[in-house]
Amino acid sequence: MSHEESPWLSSLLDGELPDAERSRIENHLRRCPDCARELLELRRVKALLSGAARRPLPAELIAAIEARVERRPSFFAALRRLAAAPLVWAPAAALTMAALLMTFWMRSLDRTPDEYVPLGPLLAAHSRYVAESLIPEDNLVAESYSAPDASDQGSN
Amino acid sequence: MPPTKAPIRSAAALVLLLSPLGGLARAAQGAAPEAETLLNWALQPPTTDYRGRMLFLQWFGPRARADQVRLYRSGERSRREYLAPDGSLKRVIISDGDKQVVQFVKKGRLLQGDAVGSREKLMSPKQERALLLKNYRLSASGPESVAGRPCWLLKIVPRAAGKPEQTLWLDQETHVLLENKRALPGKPLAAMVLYTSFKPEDSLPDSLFALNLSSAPLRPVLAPEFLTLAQLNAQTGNALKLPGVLPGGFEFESADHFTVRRSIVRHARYTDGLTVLSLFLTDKPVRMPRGGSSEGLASASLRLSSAGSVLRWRRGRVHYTLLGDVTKELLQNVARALIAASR
Repeated sequence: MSHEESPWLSSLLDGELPDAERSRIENHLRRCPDCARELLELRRVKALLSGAARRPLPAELIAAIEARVERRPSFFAALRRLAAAPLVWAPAAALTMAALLMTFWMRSLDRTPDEYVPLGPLLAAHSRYVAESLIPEDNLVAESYSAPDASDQGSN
Repeated sequence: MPPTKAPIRSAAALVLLLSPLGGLARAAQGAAPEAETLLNWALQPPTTDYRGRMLFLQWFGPRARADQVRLYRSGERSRREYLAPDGSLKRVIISDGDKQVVQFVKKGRLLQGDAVGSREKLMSPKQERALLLKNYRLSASGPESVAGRPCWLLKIVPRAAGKPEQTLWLDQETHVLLENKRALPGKPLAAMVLYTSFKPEDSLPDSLFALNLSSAPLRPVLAPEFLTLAQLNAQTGNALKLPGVLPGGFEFESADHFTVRRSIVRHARYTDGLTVLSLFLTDKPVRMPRGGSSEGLASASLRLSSAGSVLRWRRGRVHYTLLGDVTKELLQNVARALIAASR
């Protein structure tokens, strides 16, 4: 059947059409034996289905489905489960925080690893000696040898 | 008992006595005095009390640094006030000629030590002056105005390539050094001190030069010792061998040692009368500034720092760091001579 009203027959049978649409389809059914016959077929199938007996699912199938649903928790359920177990995340968080604090502290102090001698005190010693030059150059270098890193030296 | 500054002052006085009187006559006629006369002016401490404001400028590579300083000077006493960009006081250096105190105003910290020029070097001023004249050509010119005052210019140009030129602007009346510029030709390495104001004074109050140490904890400023190589070896238990003369006209002047983070640093100084090369020997590598290259000398690294080029290499268990405001080519030639001498 190729009438444009054909897709609406099922809705007409279920009483889901607005009044204007229902009147239009009913007028068409009065003039179209093909559509009237199809509506009759649909009505018979519906009656057949409503009268069929229901059979319960096997218990094993239900148990198997439920087991698979249990094994796949949602993302948020996993987070909730992790938050409820501080023995797992608390040490990891503390270690991460400690590493971050150590990094910032080392940077703030401009620490040089023990395997290096920092250049600053050597530049200061050079500048302090240059200040003793024949032509008084202390004006040129006073900033360098009196800088804070100049004090990072032991006396000889 | 450390040597006092008396021999230094005597030598400076001797130098002045030897200065050609003809230069003074030329100055009286309006022409620039002889270059060596201007050199003598630069070598003697100023006899006039004065106050001034000066700019300290330094260029190294793509970087530059500037400081503004208020300066008071009375005889051998001086007070330098380093100002922050907003004009507030950042640091004060007070010297009475024998001792020197550095006050960090915001941190409330004090450093103290021997004043610049208070100890006798191994090389006498007369020897150092002769070395300068051997390695540099002097020329006088002027007048030019600095801080509104007429000055004579003394240009000091190296005879060997790779070393900086220096120009001094000396006040005609007081002989105070009002501008001092040192630059490596064609290289981005220079330093300059320039007075923006200068005012001679009959006298300045003593309170400006008081070494007020208060009760704050003091930390020493590293003042150099002037040891011979034999004295350095005796004090550090080493048998360091260093050449007495290096390429470029540099001669060994003195050495000393100090400690940085539990590492002993031996410091040998070479001079050509004007430019200084420092050689540091350590048991650990020295952390180098970023950037730079190592071409020209195998397994060495070359960098640029605020005090000049830095060249580092290693022989056996000793790490060598050579520092000076000369070209990298000259620094590498010096390093080759040092490596050859240590074999």
